[in-house]
Amino acid sequence: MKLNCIIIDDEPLSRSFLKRFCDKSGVLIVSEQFENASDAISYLNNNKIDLIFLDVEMPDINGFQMLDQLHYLPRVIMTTSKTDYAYTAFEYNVTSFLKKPVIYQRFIDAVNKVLQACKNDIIENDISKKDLFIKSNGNYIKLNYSEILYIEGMGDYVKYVTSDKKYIAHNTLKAIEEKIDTENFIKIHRSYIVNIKKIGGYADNSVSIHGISIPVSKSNKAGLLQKLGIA
Amino acid sequence: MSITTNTEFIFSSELNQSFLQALYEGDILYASEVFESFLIDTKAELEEIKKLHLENDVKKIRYKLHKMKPTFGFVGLTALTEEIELVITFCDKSTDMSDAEPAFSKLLIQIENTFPLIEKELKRMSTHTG
Repeated sequence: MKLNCIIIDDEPLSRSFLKRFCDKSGVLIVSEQFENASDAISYLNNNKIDLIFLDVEMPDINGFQMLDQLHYLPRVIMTTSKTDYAYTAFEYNVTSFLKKPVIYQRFIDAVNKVLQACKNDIIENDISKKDLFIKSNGNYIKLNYSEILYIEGMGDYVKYVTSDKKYIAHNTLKAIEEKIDTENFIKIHRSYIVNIKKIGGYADNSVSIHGISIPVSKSNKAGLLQKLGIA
Repeated sequence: MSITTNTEFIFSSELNQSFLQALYEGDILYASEVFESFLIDTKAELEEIKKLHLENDVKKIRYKLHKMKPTFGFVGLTALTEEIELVITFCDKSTDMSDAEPAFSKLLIQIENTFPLIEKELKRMSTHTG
């Protein structure tokens, strides 16, 4: 497994060391390096990256503010010279935290943690027809497909909605669509896959599920109506 | 006690030898590049900090010190990073440099005193790598 990563740090020597360590690891491909968060945001919102090495204190926008502005959240290894940020980093669910200056052994330990987390994501995505395990707030939760009302895509995250709970997991609607049981689920919009058995009604290009109105796109309308037997 | 970073080169005992050994893992050529960059960048940054000091610009001084801090580790001056952190803490608590003044002035002298040491180390590495 190889991961695409970027380095964001306003200090050139720190970037140089990280780049060198990434090359040495043999598992990381450095796509870009940035000395400020603003440039990185526009890059990240147009490119799919697996991992960010992210400094905290930078001019204009700090590392945490940058994470708030992303459309999706890659894995993050925080790199800073202040340990005070560790708690906030934990709140942002960063995978690892490195105090600068960093030696290679500590660097590779952090990278291994990311690789393990990515492997867990794959296990999570390897879903069975009946059940799936989703990772939410650090815990794996088993959901039976029959419990799901609909799945909403949100960039690189998805929201599984049941009658009483919502779970957000790192995944894409496209990946789910490729694996999901098409007997019981159908994509009705670029952002929604719904459980056919849970549909309570159809009107005005939307379906109603447990009182929630979900839009049906033009391109998906015919397929849906056929499934519902009203075409 | 001396610690070798490859079969021949030994970092000076004034520097954090064990850290440098772990950091460079014997790659003295790369260490030379880093030490050289450190001298160029830190001298320039120090001049800017002195100007900012005259302007009493605590916020910018704090940012520059924070940015510089890890670079002292890259050349084995790990103890100095703690001195820098002390001044940063003063800057965090103050709106002008008066509170930080004694620690700040001391730090400037300490930083300037590192340059001959790093220059000497750079020469030693240069001689070693030929």
